Amino acid sequence: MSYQFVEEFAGIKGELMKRRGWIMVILAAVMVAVTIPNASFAQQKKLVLWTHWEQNPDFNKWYEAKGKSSPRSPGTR
Amino acid sequence: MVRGQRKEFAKKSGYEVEVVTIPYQGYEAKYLAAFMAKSSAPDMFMGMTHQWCGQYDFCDKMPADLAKAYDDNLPKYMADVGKWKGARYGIPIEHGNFQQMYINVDMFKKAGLNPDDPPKTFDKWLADMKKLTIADPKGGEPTQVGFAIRSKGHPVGITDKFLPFAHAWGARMLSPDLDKAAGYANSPQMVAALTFFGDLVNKDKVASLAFGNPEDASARNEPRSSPRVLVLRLAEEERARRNLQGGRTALREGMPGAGALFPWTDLVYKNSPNKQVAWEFMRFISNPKDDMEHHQSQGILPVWTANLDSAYVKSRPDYQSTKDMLAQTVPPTYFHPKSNELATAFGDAVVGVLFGKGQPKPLLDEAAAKMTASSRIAVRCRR
Repeated sequence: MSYQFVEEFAGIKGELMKRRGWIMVILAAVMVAVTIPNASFAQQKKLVLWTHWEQNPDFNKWYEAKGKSSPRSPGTR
Repeated sequence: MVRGQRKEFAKKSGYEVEVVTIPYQGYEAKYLAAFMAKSSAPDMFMGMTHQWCGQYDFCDKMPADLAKAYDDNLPKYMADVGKWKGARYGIPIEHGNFQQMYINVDMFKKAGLNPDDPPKTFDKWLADMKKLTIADPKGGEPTQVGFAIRSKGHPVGITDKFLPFAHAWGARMLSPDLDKAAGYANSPQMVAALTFFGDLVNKDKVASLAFGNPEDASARNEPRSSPRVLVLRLAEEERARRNLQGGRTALREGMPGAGALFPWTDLVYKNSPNKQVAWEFMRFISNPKDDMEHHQSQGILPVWTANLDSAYVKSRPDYQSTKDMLAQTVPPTYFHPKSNELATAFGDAVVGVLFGKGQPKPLLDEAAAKMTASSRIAVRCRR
C-alpha cells in the first residue's frame, strides 16, 4: 500500500465524515420539527381569548377557526 | 358592516386566535388573578361588562366605529348590554339570554291540554300544572310534575329563573337607580311572588325538588322523570332535540319581555399589549354574516337584528315566541357592578323558601339587609 493511496483514502474518509456530520445536524433539526408540531421557524403570534362557556364548545372553536388564515373567496360577504 | 373585514385576519395581522376555556366553577377568581398579574392575562375575554369594567377597571373601551356598528345593529333590549356608564366596552354574544317557558307537547296533549293555546295568566297556568302533575297515592314524591323548577346550583342562577315571576308581580330586585335593595327586594309584591313560587313546591306540589334542575329533568330518559312540561331557560339545543315547543306564555298582562340578569359579552383587556390587534379581530368578525355563522355553529340564536328573520331563525321552534318576547316591554335589568353578590344574597332567600327553611317575608328581609351592605361596599369601591 503506497503512501499516496493512504493519503487519498484518508481524504475521502474525512470528506465523508464531514458530510455525515451535516446529515446528522439536518436529521436532528427534522426530528425537532416533527416532534414539536407547534414549533415553527417563523413563530405565529397569538391573541388569547378566555371564555367560561364550557357548554358551547363549537361557539368557542369558531373564534380560532376565524382567526386562522383561510382562503375566502371574493364576494362571500 | 365594518370596513376592512374582507381581508383575512391572520394574514393581515400576523396573529392567530387561541381560545382557552376556563371552567365556570371558580372562573372569576382565575380571571381576577390573571388580570391583577397582567402577564398571564388574556388579550380578550368573555364576561359581564358591569363586573369587569364597573366593579373592576380591566376593560378597554371599544373603538367608536365598532361601538356605532353595535349600537345600530342590536335588538333594543340589548342596547345597554356591553355598556358601562354609557360607554360601550363589550360585544353582546348571546341573544337567547332571557327566560321563556317551553312546553312538552306530548305531555300537554296527554293531559287534555292544547299546546297551541298555552295559558295566558298565572291562575290558568297553575291549573294546567295541576292537570299535568301525577301525585303519588302513597303521599311520596309525585311521579310527574307540571313545572321543572330551578332549585339547585349557584344562587345567582336560581335568582335568574325566579325573576320573571317577580317582574310579573310588579316587583323588582333593586331600585331603578340600582342603589337600594331595601323596599324592593323585600317589597310586598316580591313577598307575594316568592310565596307563589314556593307554593309550587310546598303547597300546590306541581314542582318537585327531587327531579333536579330543568336541564337534568329533561335530559333523563326514564318515564318517571320525562321532561317536565314547562321549563325555564332550557338550553336551546336540548329543546331542539327533545321536541319542546317554544311556547312562551304571556301569563299576566304587562309581563315584561326579554331581559337578562347576567348578560355575557366579549371584552378586550385594558393592559394587553395586543389590544389594538384584539379590536381588529373584533372588527373583523362584527358583521351579520359572521354573527349568523358563529351562532348557528352552536345552534343558538344570532345577535344582530338583521339575522332575526333569517331562514335559520325562522326554522326554529321558538321563532314566534322570541318575536313576541322582543315586542314586549324590556323588564328591569340589574347591571350593578356587584350584581353577583346581590343576586347571591337574593337567591339564598329563594332557595330557603323552596327548601322550606323559612317564610318568604323574613328571608327576603334578611336578603335585603345583606344586599344593602353589599351595595354600600360597592359604592365605596367606585369612589
